Amino acid sequence: MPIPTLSTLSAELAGLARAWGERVACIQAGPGRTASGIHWREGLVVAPEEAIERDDGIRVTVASGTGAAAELVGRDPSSGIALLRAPDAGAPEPRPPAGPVEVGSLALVVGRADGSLLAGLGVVAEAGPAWRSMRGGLIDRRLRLGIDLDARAEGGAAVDPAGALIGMVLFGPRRRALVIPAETIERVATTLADMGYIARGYLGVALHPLGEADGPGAIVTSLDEGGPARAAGVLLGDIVRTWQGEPITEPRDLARRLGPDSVGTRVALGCVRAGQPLTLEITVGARRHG
Amino acid sequence: MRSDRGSEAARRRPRHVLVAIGDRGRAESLARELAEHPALVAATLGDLDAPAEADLVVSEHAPIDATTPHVVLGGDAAGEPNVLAVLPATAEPDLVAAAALLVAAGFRVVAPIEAPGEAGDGAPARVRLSPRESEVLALLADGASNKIIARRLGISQHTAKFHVASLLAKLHAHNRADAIAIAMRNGLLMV
Repeated sequence: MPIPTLSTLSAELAGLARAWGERVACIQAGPGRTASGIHWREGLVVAPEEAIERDDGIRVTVASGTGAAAELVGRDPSSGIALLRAPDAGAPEPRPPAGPVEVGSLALVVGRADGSLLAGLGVVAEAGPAWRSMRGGLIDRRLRLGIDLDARAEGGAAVDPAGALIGMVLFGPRRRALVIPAETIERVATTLADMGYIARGYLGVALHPLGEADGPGAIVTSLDEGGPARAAGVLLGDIVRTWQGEPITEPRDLARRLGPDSVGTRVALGCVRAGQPLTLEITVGARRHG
Repeated sequence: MRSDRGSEAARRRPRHVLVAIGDRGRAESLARELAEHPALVAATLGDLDAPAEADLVVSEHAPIDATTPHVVLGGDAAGEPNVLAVLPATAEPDLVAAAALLVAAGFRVVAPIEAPGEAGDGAPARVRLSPRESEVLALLADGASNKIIARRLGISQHTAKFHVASLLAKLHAHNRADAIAIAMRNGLLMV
């Protein structure tokens, strides 16, 4: 005597996996294992940035193809997203609109390995507001899945029970399954498709950290004459101690706060010049290239 | 002559390496790196097809038995008689593979090998970048690919690739992200 609810659940999950199997790709871009990617738009596949270890010799296999050379369009390490151009990837199947993501609800992750489809079932273990990555990227929602996943499914699609895309799965520390939300992918991939890169915030200073005994701070060792810091009155030898009141101890602390969305914002930089504290207001700029 | 042939056969037999470390992802990537070498067969503790008897074990902090030859990552197990190599806990897979090959061939790795990045940041005390390299570095910091670097600087992709490679070599960096971090710490990249 079959249990109708269980076989119904199983059939629905298999149906979701089958449908999303058409929209996920297998990415080979390094000597190690493959990763997964999501067929985003016509000819374009979104992949985990860390899996793209090299710029050329990338191979992408989509459902309809047998694997073809793909080209790196651009990468955004701050959100963990890379965009690839894959000639095999035609127009993706239309996707159901995204719904709200509630903690405790089910999520199916679908990925692709060389010759097989991969799936994992879990719950949304954490759902919270926007957060900032270690590399300064703004991630629109904090989403984490409680799930046991094949390593090759990193970059796969996390899908809700209605078949809508929640986002792309990336492994965080201790292989926690983080989800980069669909809206973040949309925003970042659109810029990558247009520009090929994502401009980060820029002040135009090189810094060297102070010694332990001198407290938090980093000294300005080089200054871009045409940069925002110079325009705001920063001088060589100034000690930068705070950013909007938060302590700065090394260049990385500043770089973390200069994510793509910092461009154009006004910040208060707490400095010390010749022993005297002073606060400088700086409008964050972007790097000029070429 | 017979015994010579026998020992040659023994030498040709692939050595079974058991990777006994806790982080499953790291264990798998190590096992894959080891298995690249024709003389080694690698398995992790989680593998169904792990051999019952390993010729060599890669473990963390301490050996898992007292007889099998070991390559130990981290810890202070150098005094144990069956520990033939001690590497830093963060040693790269290729370094571990190299040590495993040496140990499998009957050698002992006596001095701890320092992993790159553990002793300072590995960059030479005084690196000078050419103006072109500085431009390439600034583009790398924004996540640009070789193609975009080439387009923005009006150079060929081949030249862009060459500049990126020389930049990584100068900074002793493993990859682009590493190069950016090292350059930033050394005041070569403005933020």
